[in-house]
Amino acid sequence: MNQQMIINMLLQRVTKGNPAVINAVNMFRSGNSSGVEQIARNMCKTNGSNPDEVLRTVQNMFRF
Amino acid sequence: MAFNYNPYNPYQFQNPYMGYQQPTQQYQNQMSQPNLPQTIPGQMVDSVDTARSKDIDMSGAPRYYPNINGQEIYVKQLQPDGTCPTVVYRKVIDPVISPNSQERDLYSEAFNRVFAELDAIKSMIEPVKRSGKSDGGTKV
Repeated sequence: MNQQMIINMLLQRVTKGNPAVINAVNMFRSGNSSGVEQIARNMCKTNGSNPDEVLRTVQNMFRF
Repeated sequence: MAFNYNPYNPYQFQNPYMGYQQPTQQYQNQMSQPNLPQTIPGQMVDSVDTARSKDIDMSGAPRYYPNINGQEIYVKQLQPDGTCPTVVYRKVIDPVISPNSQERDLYSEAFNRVFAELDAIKSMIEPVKRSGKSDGGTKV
C-alpha cells in the first residue's frame, strides 16, 4: 500500500465520501486553486447561499 | 468432555463428534449476500420545485423524490464539481408492438401475390381435371 492509497483512504473517511470535497482536496494538492474556488462556489449555490457573502464571512472570521 | 459454546446459537450445545462445518457454512452464506439498503432515501413530493428545495446527501449518495401523481421521479445527487442537478425520470408506458401501416401493406401485397399464384395453378389444374372426368379417367 503506497502513500497515495493511504491518503485516499483517509480522505474517504474524513470527508464521509463527499465527492465534491474529495475532488477539491485533489485539486488543491495539484495546485488548481481556481478549480477549488469553482467547487466552493457551486457548493454554496447548491446549499442556497451566496458565495461572496460566505467569503466575506470567512474573511471577517479570520480578520483578513 | 469439552464444552463447546456456539456463539451463533448459545442455547444449542454442539456435539463434539459432529464438527463445526454446518455453522461455518451458514455464516459464509450470510456473508455472501450483497449488502443492499433496506429503504430508499428520499420522500414523496408534489412538484419538481419541492424536490429542488430538499436537502441533499453530503456523502454523495442519491436521494429519490417520487412525485405523488406517479408520473415522475426526481433524483438529487451531489456531483464532484459541487453542483447538484435534479434528474427527472418520466413515466413511459411500454407501447404494444404492432406492425405499422407500411409493414401491413407489405404483408397484404405478399399475400395477394401468393393467392394470385394459387389461382393460376388452380386454373391450370381445373381443365385437366375436367377432361379426365369426361374421358372416364383411369383408375389406379
